[in-house]
Amino acid sequence: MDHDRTLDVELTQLLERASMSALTTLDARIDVARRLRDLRDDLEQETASRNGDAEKS
Amino acid sequence: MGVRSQTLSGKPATFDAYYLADFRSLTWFAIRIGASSADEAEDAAQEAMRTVLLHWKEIETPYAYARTAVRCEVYRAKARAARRRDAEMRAAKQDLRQPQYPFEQDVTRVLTMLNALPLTQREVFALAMDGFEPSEIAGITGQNTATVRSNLRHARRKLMRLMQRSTTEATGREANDGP
Repeated sequence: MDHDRTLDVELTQLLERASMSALTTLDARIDVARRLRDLRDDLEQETASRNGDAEKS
Repeated sequence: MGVRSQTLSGKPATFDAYYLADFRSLTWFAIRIGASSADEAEDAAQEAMRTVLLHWKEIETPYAYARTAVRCEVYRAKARAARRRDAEMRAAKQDLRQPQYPFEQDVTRVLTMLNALPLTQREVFALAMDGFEPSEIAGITGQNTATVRSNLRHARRKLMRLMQRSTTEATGREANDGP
């Protein structure tokens, strides 16, 4: 029982370390503000293109 | 263990605030459920965010909604990759399935362990790691809450065994490498 409890605690600690490390790596790797701008730009272009098509027809 | 748990069922004031708060965690979630690279996970998260933005007004729980959307994106990408891999394997007759991640040892160890779980256990465990409650996980995955609890229990037990095994193997290797 004690052994299981120890393993359970070790697993929780490993998962926490891994999540912190992964999020730190992703933080350094991803420019979130730029990705948000890209998303908004893409959608604006799509909307403009759809509106253009609608006006033509 | 969760990234957070109080705001998961809430909705930030604006989409931009939500995006900035959750994009990295959503990417990490995509990796945990099986995206084959960090780039693929990032693209899946971006596509999921596009869906969230398009439905922002009617969405009540964007954190859960985005994870439902990212599941679809990851599985779609995996299906595409499997088709591509089959074609490549037929051409090159070699296995190119090694995932590529830019992460440190603890992360790759956890991803290897998660990869050994059946898909349903892997999914519910990844959601639990983000701080979702079993009832919320049930809503996202379409299982009932009792099944989610059972999957979480089995996943945790298996991960404990896998962690113990990998620790024992690493210790054995160190002993063999000694003088």
